[in-house]
Amino acid sequence: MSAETAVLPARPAFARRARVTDLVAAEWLKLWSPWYTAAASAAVVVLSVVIAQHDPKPVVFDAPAWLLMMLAAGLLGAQTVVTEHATGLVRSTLTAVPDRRRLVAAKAAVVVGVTAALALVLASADIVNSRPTTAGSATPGQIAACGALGPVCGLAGMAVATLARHLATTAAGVCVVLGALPLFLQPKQNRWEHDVSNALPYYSWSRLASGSGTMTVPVAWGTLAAWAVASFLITVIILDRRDV
Amino acid sequence: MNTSAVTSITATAAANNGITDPARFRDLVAAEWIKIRGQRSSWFLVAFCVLWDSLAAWYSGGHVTGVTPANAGSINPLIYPFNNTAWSLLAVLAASFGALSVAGEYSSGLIRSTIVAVPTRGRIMAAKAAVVAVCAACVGLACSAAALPIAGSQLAGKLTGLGPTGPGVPKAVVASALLLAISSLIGMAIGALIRHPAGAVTATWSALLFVPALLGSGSINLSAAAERMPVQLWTAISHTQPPSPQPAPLAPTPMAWLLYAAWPTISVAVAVWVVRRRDV
Amino acid sequence: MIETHELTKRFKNVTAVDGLTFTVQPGRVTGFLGPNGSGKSTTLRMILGLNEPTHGSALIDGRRFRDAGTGLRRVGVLLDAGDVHKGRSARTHLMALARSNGIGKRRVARVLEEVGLSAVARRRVGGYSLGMRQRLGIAAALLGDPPVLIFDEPINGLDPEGIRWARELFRQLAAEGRTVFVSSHLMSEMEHTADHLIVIGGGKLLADESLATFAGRAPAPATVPAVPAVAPGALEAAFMTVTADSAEFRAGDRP
Repeated sequence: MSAETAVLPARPAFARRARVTDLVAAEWLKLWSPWYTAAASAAVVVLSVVIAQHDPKPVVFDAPAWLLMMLAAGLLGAQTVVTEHATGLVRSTLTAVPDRRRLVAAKAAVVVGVTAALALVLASADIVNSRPTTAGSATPGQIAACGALGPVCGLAGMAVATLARHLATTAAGVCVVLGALPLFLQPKQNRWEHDVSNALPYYSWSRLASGSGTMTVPVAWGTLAAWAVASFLITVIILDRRDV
Repeated sequence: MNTSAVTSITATAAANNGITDPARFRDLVAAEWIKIRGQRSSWFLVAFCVLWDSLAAWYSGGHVTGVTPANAGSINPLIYPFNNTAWSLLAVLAASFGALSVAGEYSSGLIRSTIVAVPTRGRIMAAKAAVVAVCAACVGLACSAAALPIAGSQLAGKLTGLGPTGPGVPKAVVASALLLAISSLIGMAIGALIRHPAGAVTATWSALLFVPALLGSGSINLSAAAERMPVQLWTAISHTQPPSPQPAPLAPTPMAWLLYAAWPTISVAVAVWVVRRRDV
Repeated sequence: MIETHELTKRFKNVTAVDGLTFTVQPGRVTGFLGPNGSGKSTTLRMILGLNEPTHGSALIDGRRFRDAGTGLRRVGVLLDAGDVHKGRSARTHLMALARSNGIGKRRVARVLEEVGLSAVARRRVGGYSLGMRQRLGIAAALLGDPPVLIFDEPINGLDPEGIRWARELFRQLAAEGRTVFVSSHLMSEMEHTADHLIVIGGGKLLADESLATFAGRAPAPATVPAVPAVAPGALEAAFMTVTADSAEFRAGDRP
């Protein structure tokens, strides 16, 4: 055994022990290197600000406008997983970082950070824009719900991408789960639709951010948390077991 | 491998005067049909569309409340088989199919093989548009054919008029088939502009579903634009009579038909223009 | 015959191809050489009308290729073995291409047999190895039985048997009087295949001469023998000498 370990060369001068922060930094680099990440984030921020300025409703966080942010966050999370599979980069990545759970954790950390920042930027834009009509009446709870919605969608996007593995299917999947379901299923319909739609992050968030709906606050927070945890577990478990 | 095999494959080389030039449009259409037919995902999509629409008709037909013999005359039965939600999704799926038929060729690189085989790009796109639109229209017909009897049997005893000769039924069937054809052509234009499968699909869903929802939600006052989207035009054309509980934004005027025709015309023009202009 | 005249392509501020003028004659295998990034693929794409030249022109048998109604019976092309939809079978892929040019099913079966893919023709291309995809690409090039054939790096990924087969095929096609234009960076392969070489570097023409003349440029030890065969390694040495100033990527290169 000692003979075998001896074969491993001493760490050369240009490398130090890789830490989790190094992994996160690497994922951060991968996320921002293609031009579309920055372009899409900027587009969503600008669009949402424009929408917020033209919003005739007397609410701070108007729900339909936030659909765009949900989609952007979901796609951002999804592309960190699916582009690796589509390009075959995943093989290089897993050769460099064989511990897949660490890899997914690092990816998730970057996605959570970026999408939370995106959501909070939008929330601040909404608060600034709504001040004349609603006097900036956003509670910390409302802002926290907005900040949490981004990461929930980002992680959900990662889970969809892990399941779909194919570029176009992933994009359609994210659009369905985060965008089409809340449009098609609405809590004012019959009992079955009411329950299903309340389990969607969109309606949990709108309960917390604008007080609409019949859910209690803990249930709404619980739903958001359940989405985040379930999405993360799906991503970790499937990626850990799959041949790439 | 021996040299004789090489010889025999090229034995007809001598004369090359049998060139068919230009390509017959019929052959181009057949080639595009082979591409679509030869992909499993096309058939999954067809199956899903028919299944989805049947389920939607069954569900919406089975959850009708408040219909009495007295008010039955004022309810348009067409809103059940031609449910807005169900057909919005069908339209977006048809558009995604159109978008992928173009973006998929670009992302896989197949477009180079295709263009080298037929250098006149406008004709390729025209043939592709024809095949994609006809396929989408056929799926639309199949969905109508499934939804009408299903909704009819669910509504038996409450509402009538969903037979093949019912008032407005033929018009609704045609308009629905056209909706999917038009959507698929819009998707093709988006696919030609974006050329990346994930980007094209996202843009398609945003343009046909999310942006109209946003515009029409009252968040910003642009509902007039939302009313000119294909699904809203389809609603106006296919089921506005007799007075229905689902009010259509536009009357089924010649204007609605004109806009309905403008969408595919502009889409095909954009797709052809972009593909001809760009390097591949 | 392929002719280019002052062919030039600029992308924003990079000139990929710079005033290339050459002629590829029928009846022989012409090798197209150049270091990575020298503009080989861009040149081929402009010849095929895939990219529009910024300046200059390219003609195949006296015509601009983009003006042709059908392509397969004029030019057989293998640009990149990956230019296939991965979700379709080899047979479907060829059938679609053939049908667009009015070519029948029997010809598809025939070329599949020729390249040795008959047994796997109904499997999805996504599951093919690189060598199998190269064979499929060669099959597509042969479909229309064309007088001009263009192959971009056709040997990549082929096994030794496949390499020998491809070599024989190219020589056979040229012997029948066709124009055969093969790009490659494998000098040893060119030694066995090409009669004539066109060498470019940095988008400019560096050499347009017979294999033996080109090999004669090799510095010192490699001497050109009297017979038209080339001394082993001479071609590679000559290539390094000629492209010394234009290679864009070189191992150990520092700015």
